[in-house]
Amino acid sequence: MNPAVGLGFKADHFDEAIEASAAGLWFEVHAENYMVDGGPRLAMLEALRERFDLSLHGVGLSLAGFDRPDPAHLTAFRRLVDRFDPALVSEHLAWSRHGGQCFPDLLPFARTNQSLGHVCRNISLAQDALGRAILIENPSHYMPLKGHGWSEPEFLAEIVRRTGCGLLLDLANVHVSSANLGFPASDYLAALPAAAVGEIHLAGPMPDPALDLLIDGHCAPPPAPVLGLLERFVRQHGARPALIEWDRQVPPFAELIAQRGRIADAMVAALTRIDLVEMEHA
Amino acid sequence: MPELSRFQHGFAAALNAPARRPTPMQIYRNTALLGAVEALQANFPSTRAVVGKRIFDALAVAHARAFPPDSPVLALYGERFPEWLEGEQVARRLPYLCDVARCDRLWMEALHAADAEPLAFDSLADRDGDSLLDLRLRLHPATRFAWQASAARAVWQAQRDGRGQAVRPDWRATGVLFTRPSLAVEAVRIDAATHRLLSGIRLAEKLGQAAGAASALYPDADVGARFAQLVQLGAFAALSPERPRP
Repeated sequence: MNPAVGLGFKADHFDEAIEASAAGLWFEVHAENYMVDGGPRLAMLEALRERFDLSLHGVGLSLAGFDRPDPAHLTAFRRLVDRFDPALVSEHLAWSRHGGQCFPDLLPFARTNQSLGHVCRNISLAQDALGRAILIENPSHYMPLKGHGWSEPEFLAEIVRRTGCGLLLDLANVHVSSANLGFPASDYLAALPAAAVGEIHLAGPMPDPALDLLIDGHCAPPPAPVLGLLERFVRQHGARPALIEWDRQVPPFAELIAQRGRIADAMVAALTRIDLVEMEHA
Repeated sequence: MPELSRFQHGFAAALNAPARRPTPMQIYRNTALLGAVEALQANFPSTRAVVGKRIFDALAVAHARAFPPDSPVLALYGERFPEWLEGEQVARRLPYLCDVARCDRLWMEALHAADAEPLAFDSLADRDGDSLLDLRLRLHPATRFAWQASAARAVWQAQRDGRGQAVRPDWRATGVLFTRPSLAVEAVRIDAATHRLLSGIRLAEKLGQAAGAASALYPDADVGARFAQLVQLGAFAALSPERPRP
């Protein structure tokens, strides 16, 4: 079997990507990069979509903000969903817009009953506008915030209950946050509603020695601790479409395909271990 | 003020404030700024080549602080960058710099504009002279043009062609035209008559009116040939089917 392992699509890789034959390969793009009226960028994505499953990953809806999602942005997102019929659509548990200014970043907030209400309202508005359930991604954290009334896994579980959305489990973010805030990643995974997870993100963080923090840099292959979390999740809950996010110092396409093979092998190995355990119990 | 809104307000202020010492807040500050700076790098490649990476990146940081993105779609971020550059020291030393930035901007707008069928010669073939002059053409959605008094156009083209070092600035004013009838952007130099013709059509003048004004202002120009060249370049949108009159 070939677990579906995807890659973040880079325009520079188009010629190789369109010819790629790896089983189970799919591609993810940031939705905002394709919110243009026309031209070669959209034409390229159309050609890619004819051969591969596609995931639209939003970075700008600011779902964890006080304000409602921008209607024009939702309309642009809906146009992409209608045109490309993506297999997966996702956004982040974060905010990026405030008072007319957009921060190209995924910003944190205190998980309280009140923010829960805002997030759920915003996710519901987004799902209504897009005409489908979306996956919500756990963010990476760099500093403790005051005022949390909910743990992040419980908060995500409650969002799933209230809105019917799914989850995008970013294991690199779990690893980064666990290292920066000092909690066991295994506890985090155990508390998540695994059945709601519809996609997994993997990436390589980079250390910031000055601040003694790990940064979610998307600039390296997923390191051993992240692969360990993947193996643990797959062994317990089965495979999910998994994606390698590599956005800076991007290697040649062949290297990405090789890394992707590594992830697929790790998932097969984890699944085989389930089979063995089941056979022993039979 | 509700607590989430108050929190966002404080956090946004901290992001916009200058950093005094390294703190985790610095990571958010850097990421947000880097996103805007990388968008300016991508959207103004010839401008960056003219001033060099180091100077451009400092300009980009200053611009991103002065005019941060107001949309999460960064493909067309930097609308105000060419104009903003005029107030910078470096633009006084390189008088063509702002117009180079404008060329970068027009090229990018042409690239991402809506797709549309360009006007074909065939669709004009069965019209007699009068009905041709009576036409109100529409510009193709990707068509962009400007008149520039500096030597920017030659400098810009040289950077695009990868021969930036070899360029000899040509100090004549000239028009610039960008079209994208299909997927590739065409960039050409245009004369004043062509610029007047295009301007008239942009203002919804009839073809006869626009061509007449161009001929009157520039009697030496062959406006018919200029018009044919513009059709060839895909500067106009295909004629919309005529609605039968009631």
